[in-house]
Amino acid sequence: MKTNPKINISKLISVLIISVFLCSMLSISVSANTNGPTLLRQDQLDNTAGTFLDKKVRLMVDSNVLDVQKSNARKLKSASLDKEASLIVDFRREMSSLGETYINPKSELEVISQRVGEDGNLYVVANETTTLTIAENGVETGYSANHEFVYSKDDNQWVLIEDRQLEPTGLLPLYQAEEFVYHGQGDIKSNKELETNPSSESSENLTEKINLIPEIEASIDRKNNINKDTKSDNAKSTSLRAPGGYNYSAMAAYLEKYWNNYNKSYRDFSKNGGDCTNFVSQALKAGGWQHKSGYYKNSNYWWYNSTNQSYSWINVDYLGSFARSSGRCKMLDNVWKLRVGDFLQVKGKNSSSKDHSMMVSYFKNGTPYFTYHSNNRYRRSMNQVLSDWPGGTFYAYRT
Amino acid sequence: MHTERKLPVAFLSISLCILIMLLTSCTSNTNDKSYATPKVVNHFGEKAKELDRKCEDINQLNIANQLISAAKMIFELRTKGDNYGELSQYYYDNPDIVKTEIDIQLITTSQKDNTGVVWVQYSALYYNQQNNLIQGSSEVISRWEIEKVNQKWIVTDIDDLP
Repeated sequence: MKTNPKINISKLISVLIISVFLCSMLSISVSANTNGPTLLRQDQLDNTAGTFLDKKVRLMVDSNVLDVQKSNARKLKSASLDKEASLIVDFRREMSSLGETYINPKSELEVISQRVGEDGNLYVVANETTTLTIAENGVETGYSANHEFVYSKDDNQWVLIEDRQLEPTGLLPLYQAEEFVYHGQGDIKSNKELETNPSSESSENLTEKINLIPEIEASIDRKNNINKDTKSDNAKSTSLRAPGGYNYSAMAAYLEKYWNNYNKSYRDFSKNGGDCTNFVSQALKAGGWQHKSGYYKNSNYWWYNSTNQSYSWINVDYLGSFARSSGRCKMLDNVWKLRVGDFLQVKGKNSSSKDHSMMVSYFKNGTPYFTYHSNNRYRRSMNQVLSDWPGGTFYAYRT
Repeated sequence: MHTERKLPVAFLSISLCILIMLLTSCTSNTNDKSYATPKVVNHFGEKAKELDRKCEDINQLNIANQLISAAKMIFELRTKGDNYGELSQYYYDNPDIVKTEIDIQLITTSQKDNTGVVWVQYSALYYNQQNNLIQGSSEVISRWEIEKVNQKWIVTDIDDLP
């Protein structure tokens, strides 16, 4: 009848150890983003896909580099690779004739995800960041683009067989680079998000020039503005999308829906400098602004995807620059002219750069009301905003 | 026999508790609130360091809480708060408001002699007759400068994080 207490205690200790072990395994599985035992290490990625990309990038630098395929033991499956390489060489020559040549190519790859497909191939989604230096002025230029690299098993080793570009790279003019974007499997969201509007974006790319509208400080004087604005409240359509215009009521609805409960489809930057511009960008997208893909640090571009975003998407100054350079906005000379769907940026009295972006979600009795993030505010009136920023400098954008 | 049963149950319970604690710490985001975010530091500058000082002086806490109570009444539009100094600017004069939801939390306070500072975080929602939200502010961090004037503490300056 008597049981051995030592045996009982040892059993219980075993239970305790197993519990702790299970918890550890659970925490590891929560933080892990890979599955399967045989996946690519970073150094393996660098030695295969990294070397391949490096060769391609060098087409922009070294006229002696012609055969990109030599970087890989097996010929990459890509009917368009030769065509792409040829176009890159042409582009290099074209830029050279304009007095721009490149040096110091640098490429980095960062794994986003890996999976082994049903066909036994390994699919690695990685983000490429490449920079080149313009030899004539030392300016660094570059781009970021996602790829899906496909590997097949050969003698227990992964061999790169295909590079699926999920986004246009910067080695070609955008209208050419988009031809090589993979539209099959892979990061479908990235593909769809980077589709351009054929009625505006592609023609814009062919003759793209930086058309930078000067930045105008907006007056806060209300008295002089009353009855002088030729745009009435109804002139800016808040219901249907005007031809070539945007859906302002959709922007307003987005702002007022997510002002406090953030949209989980987007990353939250409230603890990283503030979420205000991110929120404005989201509203602009909701109202019809299309992504403009390109180097993420260049304010001529504006985009967001599952792994990255352009500076202009989240940074106050960059969004302002993009708004002007893209021609999507015009500047207003008075803050009281703002209407639903317009946005306001402000530089604090003692600030050296702009501090905040906010969009109008409501308009009544001649007063714009702003709804914005961090701090989260719903329909904050123009007067309240002006009192929030005493001595501030305001920049008003008509979308 | 009773003892034999109780011991294993006790150990199992402790194991489960440890497991739950470990799970909670493994999977949850850290819950410790840091008010001094980059945005806060950018706006308040050196004053943001005041947020790190925790007040344990009961008298000071009482003073801060009294001002918070007054602020709550003003937010709720129960008084204009003219005798509380700058707190009166929180009175949102809008005849359409029929309902308010106000929450003000004390972050910290620091007082010396007849002056001091109070840090709060407030949320204020205002609704109309149709129960539509007509204005809202959520988790706004604010720094109040306070002063004892004629034996009464009032707020002499308000700096809301915009």
